[in-house]
Amino acid sequence: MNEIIDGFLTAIHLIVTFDPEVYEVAFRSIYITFSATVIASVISIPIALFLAFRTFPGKRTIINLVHTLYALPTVLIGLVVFLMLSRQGPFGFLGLLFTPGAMIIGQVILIIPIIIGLTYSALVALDPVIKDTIISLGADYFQFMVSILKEIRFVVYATVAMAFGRAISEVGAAIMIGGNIRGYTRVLTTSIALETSMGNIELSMALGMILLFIALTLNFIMTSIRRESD
Amino acid sequence: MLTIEDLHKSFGEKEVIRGLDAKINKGEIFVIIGPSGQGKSTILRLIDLLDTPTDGSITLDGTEITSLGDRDKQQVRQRIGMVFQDPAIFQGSVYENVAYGLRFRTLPSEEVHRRVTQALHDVRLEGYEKQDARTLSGGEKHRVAFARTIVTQPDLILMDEPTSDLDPVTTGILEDLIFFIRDTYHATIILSTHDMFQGQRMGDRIAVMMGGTFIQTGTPKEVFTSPNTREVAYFIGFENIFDGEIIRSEGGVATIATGEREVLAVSDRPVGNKISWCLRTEDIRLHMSEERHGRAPMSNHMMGVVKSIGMVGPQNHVTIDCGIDITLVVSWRFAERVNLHPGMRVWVAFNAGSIQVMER
Repeated sequence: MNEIIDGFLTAIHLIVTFDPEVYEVAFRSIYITFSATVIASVISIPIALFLAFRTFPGKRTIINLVHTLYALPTVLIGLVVFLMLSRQGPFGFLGLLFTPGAMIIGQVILIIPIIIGLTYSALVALDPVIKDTIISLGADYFQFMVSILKEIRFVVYATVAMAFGRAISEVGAAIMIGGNIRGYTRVLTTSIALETSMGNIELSMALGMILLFIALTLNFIMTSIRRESD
Repeated sequence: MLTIEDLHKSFGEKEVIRGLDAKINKGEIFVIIGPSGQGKSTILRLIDLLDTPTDGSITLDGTEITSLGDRDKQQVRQRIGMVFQDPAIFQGSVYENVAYGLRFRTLPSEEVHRRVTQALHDVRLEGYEKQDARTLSGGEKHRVAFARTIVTQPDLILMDEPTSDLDPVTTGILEDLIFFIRDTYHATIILSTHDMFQGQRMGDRIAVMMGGTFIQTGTPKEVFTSPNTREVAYFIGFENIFDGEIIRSEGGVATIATGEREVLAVSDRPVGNKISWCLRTEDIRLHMSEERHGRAPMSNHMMGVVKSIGMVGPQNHVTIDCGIDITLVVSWRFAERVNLHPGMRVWVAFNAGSIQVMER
């Protein structure tokens, strides 16, 4: 018990004294996940709009597939990206394996189905009169899409925040394709896993508290968005 | 202004619009009346190019609009405004809601401000600019929808049952507003309603829509006094509708046999014509004795027995079995004074000119 309390106090000390190692890992985590979230959003939101407002053969299958991919195991993503980026893989020439870039790719793949799926659900649930009114008011295709997104913006914000949370807390793929290289690809989750296995409980707890703080902040943001949208 | 020719619209197997023809004149209020589910909303959606017809054409100021490309359709929509039955309120302030269509037209912000301010003034929502539009009452939301439509100054305004779920006071306010919009903005208005009296109040012309087409079009007076089918007569409130056959015809007066009864009607239809005829309750006189009513020429007189008495508002609807069931209206006071009761023998009279003869 004393060990846990001591670990907790040391962790607090590391945070309040701005321990460089702790903050370097934390900022890298945020940088990688933020990049992945932005990229995934830019890809996913137009796809969700396309799925919601266009009719084509196989649409239902794609939507089912997207929903299924919500539960995609992160180690599976890690394996696939590893195989793609490894020296023998089709994209091995890019030299991305064990780089932050590879970790961003892994996180993008992880959260794309979440953003597509939740945005699509919000779009199809939107009152059809809203859509008709926008068209009726003379919007062109681009204005229509922007207006529709404006109407569901709070859902989109919450979805993106949720996707960020999912990505930053992921560990399996991060270890497999990032390699957990100190000072380069080590992020909060991989670092916690490593330091715990090495017995550095204080450092693990400090990193864990930062991760928890990020999660709480995201939760606060989502609650605020929900309150605003109501 | 707008011409619709042989328009059809099917949703899957179901044909909702069936060969509809219409001509709407510039500056008029054209009211489409009809029961629910007859295609009123669909025809407005087709005119606003929100749906595509299965067949037929819609011509706006000489241009056939249903076959235009997306870009041209958008340009046409910018000339048309539509108020939906359940108005959509966008997230944001009243001002932003009203300015929505103007943003699509990329007008300068000063012009947007000028027009929004004027539109809010016209619908009597000054001072509401900054209020969250979703917190407005039902009537206020309708006024926002009106303002959002007129602010773009459309040539043609479509209104899909704009007062259907509102109280009578708010309905009156919005009806006044519709006249104001027509007079101020000189827009042509096509309004659908299932309220036949609203149609009568509002319309320069009325079209009765049933079974996916206009079965009668005319001025309110023409439609309400001379329905051309049994269905129209029933919808616009005729309670006495019968089938019959013309058995004699002389000098523009026909004798119609309905069951064992014969009635005189002003009609030049030929003998042998199988027809329907109808009679308004308020055109029938009730007498307590045969002696008390004068026998005017070309009038119908029948003895009957009071079958039932029902209260409707301040009046009694009395059904009398005269061989055919004739329903008429009397005041409560009259019914009490003569002690009107079921089983009582009475006489009814109505003029031949009160009977409307229709195709069966």
